[in-house]
This record gives sequence, C-alpha cells and structure tokens, in this order.
Amino acid sequence: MGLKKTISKVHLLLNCVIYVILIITSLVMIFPIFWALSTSLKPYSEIFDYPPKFIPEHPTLQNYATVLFGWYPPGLVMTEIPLGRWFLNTILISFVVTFFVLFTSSISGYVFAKFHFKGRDFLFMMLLASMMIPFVVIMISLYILMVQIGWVNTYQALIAPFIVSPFGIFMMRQFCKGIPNEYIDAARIEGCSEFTIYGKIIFPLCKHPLAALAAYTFSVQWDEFLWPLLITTSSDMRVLSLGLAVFFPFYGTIYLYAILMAAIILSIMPVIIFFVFAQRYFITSFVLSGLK
Amino acid sequence: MKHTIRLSDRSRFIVTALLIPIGWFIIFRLYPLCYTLYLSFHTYYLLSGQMIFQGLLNYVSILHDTLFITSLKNTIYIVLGLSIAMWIALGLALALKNIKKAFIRNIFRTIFFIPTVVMSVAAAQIWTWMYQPSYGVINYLLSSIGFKPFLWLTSPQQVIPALIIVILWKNLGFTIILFEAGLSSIPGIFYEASEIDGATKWQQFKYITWPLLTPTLLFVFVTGFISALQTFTQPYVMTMGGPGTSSYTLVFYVYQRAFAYKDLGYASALSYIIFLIIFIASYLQLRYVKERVWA
Repeated sequence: MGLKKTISKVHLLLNCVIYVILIITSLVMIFPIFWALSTSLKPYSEIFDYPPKFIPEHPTLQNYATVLFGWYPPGLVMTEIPLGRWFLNTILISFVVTFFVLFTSSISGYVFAKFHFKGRDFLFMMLLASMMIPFVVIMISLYILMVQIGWVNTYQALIAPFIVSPFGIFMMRQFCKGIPNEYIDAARIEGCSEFTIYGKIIFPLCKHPLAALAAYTFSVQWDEFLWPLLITTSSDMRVLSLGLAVFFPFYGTIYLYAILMAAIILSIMPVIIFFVFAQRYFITSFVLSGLK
Repeated sequence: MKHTIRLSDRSRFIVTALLIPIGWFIIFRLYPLCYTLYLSFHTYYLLSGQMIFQGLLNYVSILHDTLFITSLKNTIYIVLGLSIAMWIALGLALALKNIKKAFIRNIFRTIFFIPTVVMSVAAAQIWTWMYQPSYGVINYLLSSIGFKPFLWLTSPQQVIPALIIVILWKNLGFTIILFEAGLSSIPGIFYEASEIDGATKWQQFKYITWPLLTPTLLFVFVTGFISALQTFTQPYVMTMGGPGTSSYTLVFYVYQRAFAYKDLGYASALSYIIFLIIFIASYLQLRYVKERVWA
C-alpha cells in the first residue's frame, strides 16, 4: 500500500512539473505576438517608455490608420505603405502557385503510379532528384535567365519557378498507387477517355491529400522571401514578406516600430485566424510533408 | 490522304500530364544548375557582360577567403544550435503525450504551432524590436529578474545565439507536431505488454519509444539541417550580416557577392560549395543512421 501511495505521489508531482513546463513554454511562444499587438496599439509617446508597459496606457488605432489609410501624424514624413497591394500580390501568387502544384502533382502523380511507358522511372527519379537542389545554387542562373527573357519585376517571374513540386508529385504518386485498378479499368471499358477518367474519378479521389498539399504549398509560398527579393524592383510588385522587410529601416528611428508592428499584426492575423479554424488541415499537411 | 501524326488517347494523356513538370524541370532546375556550374569557372560581373574563363580560380580563392570561413563558421554554429534545440521539441512532444485530456492537449498544440504560421520576416521584425538593447522588452524582463542587459543583435558574440532563438521560435511547433506524429505511430500494445512485464517508464522509453522514433528523429534532423544550412531571411532582415560580418551566413554571403558586388562567377562557385556541403552532410547523416539503426 505504502509503495503504491508513493508511486501515485511521484506521478502527481511529475504531472505538475509537466504542466508547469508546458505553460511556461506556451507563454514564451505567445509572448512575441502579444508584444507586437501591444506595441501596435501604443501612441509614439509610449514606445520609448522604460520600463515598457505591457498593456498600452492610452491605446490608439493611429498606427493602423497610418498603415491602412496613410494618415500620418503631423511632423512625420514617410513614403506610402501599399500594404493592401502587397497583400493582394502575395495572395495572387500563392493561389496561382498552389493551383498549378495541385494540378501537376495530381495528374503526373497518377501517370507515374498507373501507367507503364518507356523512361517512366527515369523521369520520375529525375524529378525526385530535383528536390535535392538547394535554391541557392540555381538562383543566380535563374536571375540571369529572367533578365534575358525580360521577366524581371513581373508576376510570371514570381510564379514560374514554383509551379511544380517534386514532393507533391511524389506524394500523389504514393497515394494513387493505392487506388484500385478496377476503377480505372471499368471506366475504360465503359469507353471513358483518359482525360475523363482523371477528371471524374482520380481527381475527386485525391481530394484529401490534395487539401493537405494545398495548405502546405500555400504556406510555403506565403513565406517566400529570397526570390521576390531578387526579382522585384518596384514597390507595387513586392510581396508582403518583402514589403515588411525592406520597407522599414531596422536600425532607424524607433517609433517606426509602432507602425511596423501594426502592419505585421494586420498581415499575420488573417493567417493565424485561418489556422486556428483549419488547424486539422494545416497540421496534417505539415505531418504529411514530414512523412516523405 | 492527310499525314498527321495521331497519338492515341493514352499517349496524349501522358504527354499532357508530363509536359509541364518536365518542361519546368529542364528550364527552371536543370538549365540553371548547369549554367551556375559553367559560371563558376568564369569571372563575370553582372553589368559588365564580359565573361572570362578562369578554370578553378574561383574555387581556389574561396578556400583563402576569410569571409567564406566566417560565413561557414556562423552557419555551422546555427546548425549545431538548432540541432541541440531539437531535443527541446522532443521533450515537449513527450510532455504533451502525457496529458490525458485531448482538449487541453489541443490548446497547447495550437499555441505552440502559431509561430510556425507567422511569416519568417514578420517574426524576424518582431524579435528585432524585442531585442532592442535600450528599449527592448527582453532586456527589461531579464533585468527584472536580476540579469544584466544583453547587447543581442549589436554584439558579435550574441548575434548568432539571438538568431538561433528566432529560428527556433518559428520551428519549434512544427517539430513538436512531427515528433508527436512519430510517437503516436508507435502501437500502444507495445506499452501495454511491457507494463504487464513490469517495465518502468524509463525502460519503456529506452527500449520502445527511442528505437521506434528513430526514423522520425532522422527525418527531423536531416531536414532541419538542410534548412538551417540555408539560413538567409533572419540575417538579412535583422542584422544585414552585422555587426561587421559576424552574422554572415553562407547563403547571405552568396547573396551579397552576387547582388551587392555583382560578382556572379565567384558567387556561383560559392553556391556550388554550399551544394556540396549539403549533399555530403546529408549523405553522411543518412549512412551513419542506417548503420547504427537498421544494420
């Protein structure tokens, strides 16, 4: 009896320790976002306060007004912040890239899984091997290529290098291997064309892995920074990540941080809210990306 | 009679399916890969247009380039720092697994994962603001529990650890989720059986969890390693490689060489060396683990 009691006491203690660790870690993880939010609601006079206040004393939306409508307080001269334009650019590019990745991954994944033809395995291995190429090795040549064909500072240039995902093809091939051949054969006997089979049978069956692939592709594209940095030259072609990085001087005047934090909160909140609701898809997508 | 080549429906489908991927592969992967190699044997400045063949000169110069050595050291530092930090993720995943109530577990998981969906640039900017030596909130918090203020991004010694913290903050949730998935794929019956045999928690960890988690661990390490070797956004946004050159990473250095100095030939050679490092390192890691685990 005594031993059992000690064991349950140890368990209780262990549980408490686990909870304490998890709670402290959660606070650390959430704090930067809380701090950005708090800063974004402060008037300039409070930005310099030391000790800093966690909750703004006189909360204001003036920083948000600056970002959204260009309302500057008197005495502050700054160029316009086309946050809306950057946002739309990012959404447009991420959507188009995701659309292409879903199409190419599902159709060629299906072909690699269910068709036999000469050179199939070679082609597949070749595409798979391109996953090993780090972006840094190709970026210089890609840049020169874009200069040569006159694509610098265009949407094509921002989209084209990412329209195919070797990982997506691999993932969809694995999935399509599990589709019974009978489905396909039956449709062929009925006289369906290959295109109809893909559109009416295969694509609908791929819905779930494609949703995960979409979440994954979209979030990777959303975060893309290096390539847009190289290839865009004008403010109206920038994407959000670039706008947030390049527009604001980092060692500059500190009060700019209030405006910057407002811009950041505006740009991350939609994603965070979307994530909290569509968590399942996000998390499976990331796990799937880990199960290659 | 018309002599048109009529492809069968099947061939037409295959061609349609593979046209974009193969075209993409040739134009956007294979060609740049070869062209960068070609460039790396030349001296070529972006605006001059003159390309002079130099043989292996670029590669030889890199070996004597102190800035390359600095970038390499910094990058290795980041890679090592992040690999050590992986264990935190494993610990937290194990802790989460211990929580019986799914609802509470979900709350923690959501909070841990939120930084992962925050754009890297936004994360870098938020942390830059928090790291401010004189007004920053981190120094305030540290001083309130009795620490001296740190210089963070303005100190050559502290800048790399500061960057590691930012990257860790963003990746931790993702890594925890991967470890959790790995843990939950271990059949529960193993634990039940060992419990009947009177195994302690530690023995269960050592003989069941650890060996069966190895594939996940390997995956997390190799991918984490490859992405850490390509760290770029954080030094670019937070420090521009500074103070001085103390936060230059390999990719940042390539970027500087290619697009600030316009020295494309040299930058190409640099990028091939990075490629080589990534290739050899991931190969060695995979082999090492294969020998130790699956042999």
